[in-house]
Amino acid sequence: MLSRVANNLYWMARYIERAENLARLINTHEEDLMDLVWSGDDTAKSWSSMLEVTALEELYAEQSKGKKRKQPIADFMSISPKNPESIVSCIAAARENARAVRDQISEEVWLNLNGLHIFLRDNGRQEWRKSASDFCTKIIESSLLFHGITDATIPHEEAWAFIQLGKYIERADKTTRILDFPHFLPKGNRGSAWPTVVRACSAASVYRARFGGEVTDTKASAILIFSSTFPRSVRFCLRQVHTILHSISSTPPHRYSNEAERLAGATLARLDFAGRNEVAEMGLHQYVDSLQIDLNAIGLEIFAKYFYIREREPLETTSKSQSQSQSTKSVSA
Amino acid sequence: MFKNYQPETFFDEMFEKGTTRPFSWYEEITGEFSKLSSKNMEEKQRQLDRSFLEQGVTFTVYSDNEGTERIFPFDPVPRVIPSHEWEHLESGLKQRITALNMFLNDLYHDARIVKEKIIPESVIKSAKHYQPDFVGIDLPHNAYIHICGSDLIRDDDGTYRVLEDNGRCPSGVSYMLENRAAMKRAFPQLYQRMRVEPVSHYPTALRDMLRSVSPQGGTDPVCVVLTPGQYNSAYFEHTFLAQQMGIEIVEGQDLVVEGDRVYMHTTKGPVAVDVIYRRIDDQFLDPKVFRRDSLLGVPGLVDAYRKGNVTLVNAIGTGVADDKVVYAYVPDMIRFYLSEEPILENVPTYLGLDKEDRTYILENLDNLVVKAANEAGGYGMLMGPTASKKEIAAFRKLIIANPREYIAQPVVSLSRHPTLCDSSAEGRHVDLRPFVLYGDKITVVPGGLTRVALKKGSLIVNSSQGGGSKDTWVLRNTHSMNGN
Repeated sequence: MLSRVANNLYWMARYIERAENLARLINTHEEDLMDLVWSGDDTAKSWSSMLEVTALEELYAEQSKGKKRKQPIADFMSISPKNPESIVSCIAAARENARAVRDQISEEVWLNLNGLHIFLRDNGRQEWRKSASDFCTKIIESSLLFHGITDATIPHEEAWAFIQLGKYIERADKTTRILDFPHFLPKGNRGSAWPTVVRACSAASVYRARFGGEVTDTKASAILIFSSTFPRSVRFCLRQVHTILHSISSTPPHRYSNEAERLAGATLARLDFAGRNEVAEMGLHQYVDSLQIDLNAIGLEIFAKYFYIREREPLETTSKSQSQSQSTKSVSA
Repeated sequence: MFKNYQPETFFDEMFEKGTTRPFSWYEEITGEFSKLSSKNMEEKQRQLDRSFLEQGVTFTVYSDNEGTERIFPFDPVPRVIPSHEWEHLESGLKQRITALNMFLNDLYHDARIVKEKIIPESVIKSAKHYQPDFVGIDLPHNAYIHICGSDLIRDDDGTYRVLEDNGRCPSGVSYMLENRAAMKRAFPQLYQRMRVEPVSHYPTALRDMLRSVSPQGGTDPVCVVLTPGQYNSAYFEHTFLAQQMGIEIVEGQDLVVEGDRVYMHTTKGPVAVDVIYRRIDDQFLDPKVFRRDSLLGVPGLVDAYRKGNVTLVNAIGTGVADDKVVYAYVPDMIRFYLSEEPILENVPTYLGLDKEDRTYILENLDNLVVKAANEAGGYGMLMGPTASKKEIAAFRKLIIANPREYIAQPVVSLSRHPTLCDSSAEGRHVDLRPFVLYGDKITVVPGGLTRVALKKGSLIVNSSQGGGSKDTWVLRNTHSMNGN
């Protein structure tokens, strides 16, 4: 498979998964705000902590500089086309990546994704205004549908493997970010945010079955970081990444043929063996931060091994621009 | 829907001249469409438009900064070509592509046609897309134009004529295929009753042709489609064809040349490439040889091509045949190389470089269409009868200053075809672009892209200037089928 194509498939899946997780976080938070008896300040703070979790505070500040009326943060994160990480932008980016590799994905995958993009482009704003919850649910369901169609209609070979790789790396990263959400809240409100975290990851019923009672940070991370069976946990996702990387290079499970595999193996071992003690030593925030660094490093190694194409410089630049010019940059974060 | 139809004085594809009596091969169509209520018709049209949008059958318009994706407007009334007309077209197109390829092979070798003064040397030397550096390169099957999309029009009495040949990168074949798929869904019974020749084998024929021109002559050549990328207006077509053929679609950055061999970057390392169906102009192919600012091409590609290690489809330098002055000599080429008379006529053409012709052109500017020899897409044109005095004066200057670069033709009014306009049919001008493949054999897919000028009275069918398209139904020859 072409390196560029693998890159597009990988980012298509990452962007879908990113949009889904954003929708999960926004949706759950909106619901919770209805019940919580926070002051107006606390509510505002909770939205700006959302920006910090997704590392968008600078962009938001920049875009609202000098504006009389700031755009609501929820709008910025969901429907703003100017925010490249908003839900609508993520779907558009996923669709652009899909468009570049239409010959590699099934007709159904394309129709689903293109349909969602057209829907958001034409009706996204109205839908969001009508009901934020319906909007988010639509995104979540579309993403799940995307993964379902992918599994059911694309041969489970290389193309599929790169899609899975993108999905699980992104999901692991987003789960760590959702776990970090309470950290950015005022101290007094942190405790009440843990149920939000668990529900945003669809882990509420798992949590009830296993622990019941009040949601705490330790119990939440037991499921969202360390569960070996819950499909949104970091450990589960990393095991998938590890397996898929090995299947792509046809390397037996306990051997390693490249840096991406080695790093994925090392991070998985951290979660398998050292896990809870490390959290106790470092504190949850530091710990998830270190996981994010590991995940980034794995992503970079995947890029170096499979996607890297020398950026080409023109031999000469002239004032005349190319009539067939295009961006040679592949779509990536 | 044809109740108030006015064929006027034009040649009409559906109705016999000056009457409202359909040609026998259109009777099924008029019958079927007359049965549809205007509400049904609108519903069908919406359904068709939606299916094109959902499929992503779009092209990109750059009139605004954003580059809007649009569907190519589609008209549901099909254009029908009876088998006896198609047989004539097919043999004419085969004759023409054969002569054009013999011409290019001659031009890039001994140039007999110049030595024997059939075409003036000055015309060739001054042709914008002539590539003198590529003389003496032997190509598989001596094929230069592997894919040809000549534009045909019909004049006042219905005679088919070639307007231009498009020997570089003719586009539109994906619309021919998608239009057909949509029509089969929208009008299944009508389609079956009329015994229409299928076009769906085009991608297979294209793939076979690409494999047949592989330089290695091996059994399993690697063929790819080279696209400028997803922001190119025809990108949909590039992916569509790659997908239909089951071959890779690559961008310049995916290819690398080492040891005069072309390779593509894959997740499993470099893979050698034998045939490149390139949808990039000569000028952008290789920054080491052509435009040095090109990011679309591949450095070293031309070296590999010269060494005969990779085949480019179409070959480098075919643009010389698209020069409208060279076009005027195609009938002479046919006589010279094939000792045959042309089956398909050109549109009568006056050359600015010919003294007598030039005098005629300058005296009759308000009756003629003047065209720049190397422009396409409806640009660089003067429509004498509708032009202002100022425009005519401007072209007069241009022609006098640079007679080689201009030709003139009488205004051919183009046949018209009933076209759906707000639930009733109105006559709109059409042309026809059939697609011809030339490799180890010649294939003409029965059909083509019928382009229609949707603006009332307009003669310009280009998609960039308000054109749309229709499905083209070539009917099977029922006589030779013997009731099959």
